[in-house]
Amino acid sequence: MKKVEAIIKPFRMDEVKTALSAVAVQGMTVTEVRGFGRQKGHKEVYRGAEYVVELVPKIKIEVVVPDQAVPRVVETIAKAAKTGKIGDGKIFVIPVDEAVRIRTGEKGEGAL
Amino acid sequence: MIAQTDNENSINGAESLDDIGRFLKSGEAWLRRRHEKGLSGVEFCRERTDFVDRVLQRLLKRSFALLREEESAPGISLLAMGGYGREELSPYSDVDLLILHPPGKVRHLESLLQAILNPLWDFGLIVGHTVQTPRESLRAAQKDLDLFFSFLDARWIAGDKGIYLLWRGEFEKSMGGKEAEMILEIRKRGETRHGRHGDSVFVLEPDIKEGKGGLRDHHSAFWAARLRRRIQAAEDLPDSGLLSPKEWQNYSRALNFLWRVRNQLHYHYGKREDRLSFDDQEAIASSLGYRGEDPLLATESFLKDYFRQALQVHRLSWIVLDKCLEDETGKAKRRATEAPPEIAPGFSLLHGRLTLTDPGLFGRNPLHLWKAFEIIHAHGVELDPELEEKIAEGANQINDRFRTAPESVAAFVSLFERRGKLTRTLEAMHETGFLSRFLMEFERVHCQVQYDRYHIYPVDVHSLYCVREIEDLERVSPADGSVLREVFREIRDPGILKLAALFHDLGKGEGSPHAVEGEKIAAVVGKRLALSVPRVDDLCFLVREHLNFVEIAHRRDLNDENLIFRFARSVGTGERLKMLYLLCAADLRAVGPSSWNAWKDALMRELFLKTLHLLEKGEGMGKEIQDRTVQIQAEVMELLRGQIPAPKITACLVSIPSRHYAVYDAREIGRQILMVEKLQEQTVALDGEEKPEEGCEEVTVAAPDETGLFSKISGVLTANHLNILSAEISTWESGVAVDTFRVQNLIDEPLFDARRWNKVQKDLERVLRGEVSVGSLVESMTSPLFQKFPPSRRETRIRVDNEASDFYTVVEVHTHDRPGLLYRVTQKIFELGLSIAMARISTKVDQVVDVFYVQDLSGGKIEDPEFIEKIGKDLKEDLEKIPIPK
Repeated sequence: MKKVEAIIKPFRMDEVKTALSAVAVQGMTVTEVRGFGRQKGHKEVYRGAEYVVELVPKIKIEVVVPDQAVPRVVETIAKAAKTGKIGDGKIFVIPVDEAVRIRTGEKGEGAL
Repeated sequence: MIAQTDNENSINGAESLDDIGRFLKSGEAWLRRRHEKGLSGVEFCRERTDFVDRVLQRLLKRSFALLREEESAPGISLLAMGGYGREELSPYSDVDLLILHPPGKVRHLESLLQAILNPLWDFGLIVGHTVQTPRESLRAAQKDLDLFFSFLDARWIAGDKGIYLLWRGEFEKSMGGKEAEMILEIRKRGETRHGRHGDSVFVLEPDIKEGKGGLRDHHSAFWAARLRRRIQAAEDLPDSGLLSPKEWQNYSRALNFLWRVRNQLHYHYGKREDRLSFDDQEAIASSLGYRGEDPLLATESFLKDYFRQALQVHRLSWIVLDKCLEDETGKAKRRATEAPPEIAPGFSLLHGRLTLTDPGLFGRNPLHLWKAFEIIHAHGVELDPELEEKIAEGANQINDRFRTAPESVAAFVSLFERRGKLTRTLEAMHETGFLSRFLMEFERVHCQVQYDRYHIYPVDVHSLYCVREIEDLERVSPADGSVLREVFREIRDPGILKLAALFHDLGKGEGSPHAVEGEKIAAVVGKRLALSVPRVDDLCFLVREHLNFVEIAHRRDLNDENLIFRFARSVGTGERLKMLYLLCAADLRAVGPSSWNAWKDALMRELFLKTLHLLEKGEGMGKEIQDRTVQIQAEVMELLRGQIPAPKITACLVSIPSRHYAVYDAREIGRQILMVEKLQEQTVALDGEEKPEEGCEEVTVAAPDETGLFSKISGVLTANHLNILSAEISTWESGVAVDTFRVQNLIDEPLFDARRWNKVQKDLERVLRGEVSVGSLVESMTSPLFQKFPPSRRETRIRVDNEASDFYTVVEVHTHDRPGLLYRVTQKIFELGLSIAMARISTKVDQVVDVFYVQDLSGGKIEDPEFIEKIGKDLKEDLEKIPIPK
């Protein structure tokens, strides 16, 4: 099992969600996050006062999938999240040792 | 020790344990069936209490028999305490017992206790018990307040009733003189308890016992009344004068509801559980008979009922509690001054609470009700319970004449316009029922819940909180760096904004999108409140658009200029935008503690500022431009009718940037659309026209957009002996670039002669297909033409401006004109990795001012100062290398 963690632009969230459902991803965790990468923050000015936005709003999507599904899921996210511009985000793949469905106690891939 | 085996059942004629157990089990099963059929909460708890009482009575009798004791051994008495004492047993409530026994050694006491308690445990009851002499227990209650309060609930079940009565007499004596202290303690504990449970009736997962408006509030009121008025049971509340018969009716109905829910909760979990956890609310609602096609709606309606009843319990129980406290202060009041000074005719302040000195005031003229609210608005005082009742009575008399009376309307609206304690005033109006009588539209959202994790408060409470958020902005502290305060200071009509805050969600619960419903309601209410037409328009606009703003901010690409442009147009003015932004921020902040965060803040501020900049610059925003756009679109539809299917024309028209409509007329746009249509078969489409009155030719090029396109086209034009005087480039949303060039022909052969025109077309195709490089075309141009240019040595200046636009970095090139200049400039811009979205190329005699709106390849402005410097330097160096005609 692997966890696929994607940091994407907020307005691509619906596309990514739809695309993931289309490749039968059952569930996901979505978090509003802020941060910066190569797309540095920016400065906004209002009536002379500066508002520095150092951390850019992003969405983090996390899904845990069986190993063989990883390439498909990563590709799906990358395709749906892409606008071709800086700040499109990143995808990380992280090994997962165990999964437990709390209600039933099922373990491993059966719990996904 | 008594062994509990069946063969001992007959000993001394004692009853069989099995029989008692069966009695309890069948009683419980019977109760459960009746609960499922809708048995009232109060009746259930009473009957269950009665079953347990009878079990205990039989157990006591049995144990006496086993021990060969007299039936009622002197001095032994079984008392029910706590909830059991109050006859409030839910399916899995604790059964708390106090077993009194005489002092000194009691024969068989140990065995007796076991004979009673062990079977109870075996029957599955959760038993808590204390075994004490009357004196011991009374002493313990002096030290332990929990114990003290539970003694207030004590009830005799079985055994020696005499000892119980003695004990009770002693206990009541021990209360003497401590009532005020104890009631204060109850109140204090209540406040702490509420604090632990979110300090609101409206929480996501209400605790039906400990939460605000929970059963513990009722117990507190009961204890206070028991201490102060020595009532014996909750039913005595109306007779004690603490609640009116009508209030009692509401109160007992509310309690009944809470108990029924609690009983269901216990059954649902199979144990004592008093919290309505979010995940199970739907199931609980359904078992309580809230069913329907849409389970979510059913759950919402259950929660609405729950909150209404909990509100009743909270309100009435605290009235009882406060009245019990005031019994004391009331005495003090009479001793001190006779009449506190009036602060307005008919009103005075007493202990910080507003009281009515003229009880007939509202009766004589209900419009005096406004006076009470004006005082709260000015001074933020609380209402005294009596005045609260008077207002509630007065509210019931409100009719249409009152609602539309000029005095009413003016008084209500001015609360919003003047600075004061608006939220506090609205709360007082709401709590007394005045608000929903005066604004009937408000009644519908009273306790209206949205069943999701996000909306914590029902709509009515949320609306008041939203007003509070706006009001908070009014308390300006200059050092506070929030842009919201700054914006608030600039708006001209805060009254409308506050009204919008109160009304923004009134359309909820109607099914259709609530902003649309809400707009209709706002229009009706605005009119009834005699607001001017522009103000009603603003109000409707705010209610209608409040969802849209948030949706765009959080879900759309804020770097999409056309999106912002369209949004700016739909908003229309900076004033409206500011109010909308403030309303949306207040709305989110009022949803719940976690709904507003830096994430949402950043996106909403970005949308606000970008839209505001567009509106303040005013380009293409005016009404004339909008009318012109609509006009042109209609004309184009007409022009192209029959040539291209209508849906295709529409798709094109929508894809054209708004600015484009300001530059071209319908005929030109029509021709451009025809060119774009041709791109399905060819690489590039070309169109040309003579402009004899301007002494030049116009060339229009349509091609799929790509980086460097502009540079390639200008290169080809240069190579074909055309000097570019000006250019308009625009990129349509469909991904096509449509560029128009005004050119000066540098050779004698007319541009539109077939041979020459075809060559331009061929060159463009070859360059765009990548068959030949534009650079080689330009270099191969042998030009004897420089002579045509007057010698000049103007200095080349490059200005890079990041302030002018939220979407582009603007590069201005000031230099003297030379053939091939535009190609060189645009080629360099391309080499620097920038893409040109718009350009204004203009030439005045020999002076060129070229303005390029560029983005980096990421589609954003260039923020890196070093890179900005490099752009200026590289462009300048490169331009200075172009030969200057002598």
